[in-house]
Amino acid sequence: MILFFYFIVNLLAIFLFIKMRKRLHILEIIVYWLFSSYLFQNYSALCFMNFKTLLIPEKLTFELAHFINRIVLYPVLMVTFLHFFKDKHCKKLPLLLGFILLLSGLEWLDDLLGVMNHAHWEIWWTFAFWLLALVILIVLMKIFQNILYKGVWKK
Amino acid sequence: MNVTFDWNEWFFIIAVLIALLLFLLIRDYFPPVIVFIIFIFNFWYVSTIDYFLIATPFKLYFFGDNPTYELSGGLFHFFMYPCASILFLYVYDKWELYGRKTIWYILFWTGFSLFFEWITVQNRALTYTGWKLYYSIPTYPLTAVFLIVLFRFMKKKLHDGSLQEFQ
Repeated sequence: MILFFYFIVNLLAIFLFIKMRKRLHILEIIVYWLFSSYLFQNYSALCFMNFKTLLIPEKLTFELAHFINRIVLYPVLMVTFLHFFKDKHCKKLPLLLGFILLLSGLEWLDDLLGVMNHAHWEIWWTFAFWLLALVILIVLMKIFQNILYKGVWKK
Repeated sequence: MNVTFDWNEWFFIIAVLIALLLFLLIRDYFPPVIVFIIFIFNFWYVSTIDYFLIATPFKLYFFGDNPTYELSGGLFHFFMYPCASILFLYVYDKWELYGRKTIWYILFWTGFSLFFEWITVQNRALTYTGWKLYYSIPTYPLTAVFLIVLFRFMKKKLHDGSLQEFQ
C-alpha cells in the first residue's frame, strides 16, 4: 500500500515536471537531477549505515519506496527548485524557504509512513540538511552553467 | 565501526592513483562539459547501485573493513569509476570503435572489469556477503551501453543549437 502510494506520487511528480515549461537545458536537468539524487542518497546512506540516526525497515516494499523516492521524487523537486531559481524575476529567499519546508515535510511524511524513520534526531538537522543541499545545488548550477554555456568545444 | 589502515586501504589508494594518472594523460581529449557530466553520472550511478545492494534488506557486499560507508569506498566512488569511464569512452571515441567493433570492445571491457573485481575481492577491498562474481557479468556491458548512450546524447545536444535557447 505504501509502495503503491509512493509509486503514484512519483509518477505524478514526473508528469508535472514534464508538463512544466522548461527554463533548463536537458543537459542541465540531467546533471542537477543526478546530483540531487546523489546528495539525498548520501544523506540517507550516511545517517542509516554510519550514524544510525535514520532507520530503513527490513521490508522490501519500504526499501523500494525509499529507492524510488531517492532517485525520482526528491531529485525532481530539487530540480524544480533550480528551475524557479533560474528565473530572474523570482524572489529567491521565499523560494528557498518554501522548498526547505516542502522537502523537510516530505522527509517527515516518510517518517510518518514508516519508510525512513528518524532515531535520536534533532528536528533542526532536517532543515539544516535541506538548506545545505539547496545551497550546494545553486553553486553546482552556477559552475555547470559556466562550463556549459561559456565552455569551448573541441569536437 | 572498526576501520584499520591496512593492505586493503593501500589497495584502494594504489588503484585510484593509477586510474587518476591514466585520466590525467587523456584529460584534454574531451571538453570539460563532457568530463563533468561523466563524473556526475558516475557519482550517482555507483552510489545508487551500491546503496541499494549494500543496505537493507539485501546486504550483498561491502567495501573496506565494515558494512558502513567508508572513506576508502568513497575513493572508488569519487575517482576510480569516473576515471575508468572516461578511459572507456576515450578508447571508444579515439579509435572509433563503432558498430560491430563496439560489441567486441564491450566484451573486452567486461572481461577486464570482472578480472579487476576479482582482484578487488582477493585484496579484501570488497567483501561479498551474498553477492557472487558471476552476478556482475550482466552489469558491466549494461553500464558500458549506458555510458555510450549518454556520451552520444551529450555530443548531439552540444551541437544541435539547443543551448542558445537557454542561455
